[in-house]
Amino acid sequence: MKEFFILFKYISLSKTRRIKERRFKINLGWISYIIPVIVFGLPVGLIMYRLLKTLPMPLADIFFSMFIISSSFLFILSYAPTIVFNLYGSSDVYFLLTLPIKRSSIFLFKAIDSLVYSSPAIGFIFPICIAYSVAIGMGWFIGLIAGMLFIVFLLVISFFFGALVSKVMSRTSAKILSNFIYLLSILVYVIILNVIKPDTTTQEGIRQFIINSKRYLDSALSYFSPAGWLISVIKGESIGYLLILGMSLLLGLLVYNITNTLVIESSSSRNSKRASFSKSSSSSPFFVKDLKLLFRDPQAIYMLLYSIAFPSVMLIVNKSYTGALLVMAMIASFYCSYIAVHLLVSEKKVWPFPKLLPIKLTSILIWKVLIPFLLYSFLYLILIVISISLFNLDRIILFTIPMVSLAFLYSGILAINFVLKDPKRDVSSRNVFRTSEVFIIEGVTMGIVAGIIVPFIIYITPSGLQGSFKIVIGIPVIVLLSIIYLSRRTLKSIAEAINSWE
Amino acid sequence: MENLYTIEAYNLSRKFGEVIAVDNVNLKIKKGEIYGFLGPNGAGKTTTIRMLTGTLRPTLGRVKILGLDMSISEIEIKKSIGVVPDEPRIYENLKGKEFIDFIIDIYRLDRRKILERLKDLCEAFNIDYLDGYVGDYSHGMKQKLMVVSVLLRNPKVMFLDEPTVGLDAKSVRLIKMLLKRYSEDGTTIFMTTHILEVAEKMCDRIGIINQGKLIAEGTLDELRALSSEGYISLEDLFLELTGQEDVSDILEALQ
Repeated sequence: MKEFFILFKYISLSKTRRIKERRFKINLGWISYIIPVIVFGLPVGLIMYRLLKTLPMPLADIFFSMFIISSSFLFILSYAPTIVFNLYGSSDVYFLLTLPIKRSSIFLFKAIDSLVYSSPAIGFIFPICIAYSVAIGMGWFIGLIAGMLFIVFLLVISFFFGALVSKVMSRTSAKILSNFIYLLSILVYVIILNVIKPDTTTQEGIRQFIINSKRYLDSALSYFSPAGWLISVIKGESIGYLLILGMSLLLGLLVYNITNTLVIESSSSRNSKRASFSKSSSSSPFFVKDLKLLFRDPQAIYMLLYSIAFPSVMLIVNKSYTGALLVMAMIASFYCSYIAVHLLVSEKKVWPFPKLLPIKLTSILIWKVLIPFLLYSFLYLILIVISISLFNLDRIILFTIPMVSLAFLYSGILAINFVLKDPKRDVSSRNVFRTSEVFIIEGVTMGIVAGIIVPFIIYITPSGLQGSFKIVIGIPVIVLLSIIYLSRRTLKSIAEAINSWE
Repeated sequence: MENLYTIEAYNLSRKFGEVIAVDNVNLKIKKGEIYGFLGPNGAGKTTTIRMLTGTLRPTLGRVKILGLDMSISEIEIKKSIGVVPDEPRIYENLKGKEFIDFIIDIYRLDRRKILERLKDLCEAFNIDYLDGYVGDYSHGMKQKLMVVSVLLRNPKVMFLDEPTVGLDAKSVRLIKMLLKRYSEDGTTIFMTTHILEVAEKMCDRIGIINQGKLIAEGTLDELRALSSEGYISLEDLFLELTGQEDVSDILEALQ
């Protein structure tokens, strides 16, 4: 345990250094973990207290367990993959392995180090426990103790899942999976929030929703459920303490054993069977390679899925087909730039390897723009086909396809230009854009897309400007000409930047 | 008439801001020659290799490979050369076999022939991990993959920047033997190394660069003749020429 605290001191020091580099002189240390808890937790606690106080006992229990289960679920889903990512993604792990410390301490150190990214979820649990405890008349102290116990329990579960994933997967697969689960959980959460919309406008609607929920949550309140254990702790029943502490201890021992035999440093990639190579050659090796890299990057998959999943929910649940098209095109126009730059960064990370190849840099760069353009144009086309076939949307909307696709192309070109003009920027982090560049890309591309689609939406809306076809089609044409002009200018700038890229 | 030299550099210079990394270097390396390029850390070895391989433009000077001017025939030259950089940077989310596929496609090689050759090279280098992601490889595994991806193409000119770093003893010996065999078959090899014993045993000629300037060049015997102290070993000679020979004070202080 002593070695863990020494390592933890080392986290604080490295964090202080990062802060100093940003010219702030505050040592955040522990505070960096607590700030999000306060920021997210305080308002939630107050709202929950008011709500739980007004509800009769069974309803208060149901509401409380609902929040606890969903918060715990979100916390474990986001935290366990982050542990794996931090364990394999940190460059200091190899140094730590040379020190005379147990592997379980390194694991725990990396796990606690990554807690800061998931602390908002904890921020919900603490105040909810206190609010519930006060609301049912047990006082704030027992709520605090119960909250602490439950958080320890959640941490141990997350450590357990993190350790299991670390144990069975190779470094790269674990990184890909952990990112994917994390991003997928956000996507699922967004979709659920949109699909499950209880009628909260009437008393009867709320009552019906709670009754329906109770059916599913009866099992959640039993002694087989951790939420049930937490409730019994807050109500002063010793069985709750026993169950939470016992399970935490048991899982803790398992984590200790698993992590002490964890192979962090070597790969599991050795394979006795002969590698099979593709039989045919590709005429566009960079296209094939970029597609592989793209579909192995969870964030890129998320960007592709989100751009179609969220508008699909709008389309199917809310029947808002015009809104869905506009939202999809706006999201896609922005993500196009991210994916283009993401592909460009993959070359920068292996630099100067691409420059050693017998191929012009422009031939390498062109796929970085074309791949997101082709993928998002295809997704936009799918959404339009669904809208026309399911909702009988006016076929004039088909005119938007080439225009919007061109906007996607321009988005990629614009982003590539930003990065090429400043090739020395830090590409190690996920977001390689400066804030001003994000605003420019968002403003320009989303503006362009809105300029193309909104006139069409106005035209096809029954109360719209149906008689003024020339005016309505005129605006997108002007926007289109602007894109062509802007693209030519940006491409010239890119051509100049490529020459100085070395 | 066939050009006598495969690698030529004329007044090669490179400045980074105010710092002169490479200063007026002239090189003429014959076909089939193994040329060792030595120098202390930061002397300008990698910068020179980067200019010779077309990944960095010289501030001044000209590079010719196989008689072709780098500023005019860059792509043509890159088809005929193989480069093993000092740091084996390979796309981490590709599998080893996919990287080899990529190389075959980019260089438009005969897939059937190359895969046969790859089989032999993999056996020789004990590579049995091509099904795994490059991101999972150790430095040595990546380095071996990089070396193999160059050797299987049979390039006419090879540039190797510290090719033996991170490799096991067997692989080091194998690389040394293979390079000798390649040079006998007419491949020109330009390599940098910090292991002076490797240079001493393998290289036909040696160039020593210090603070961006080529301070000595020749066969081992020619270099020995330059020594004021009559040094025999390349290590002593290298330290004398680069002005780093006096380490006795440091040793004394450390004791």
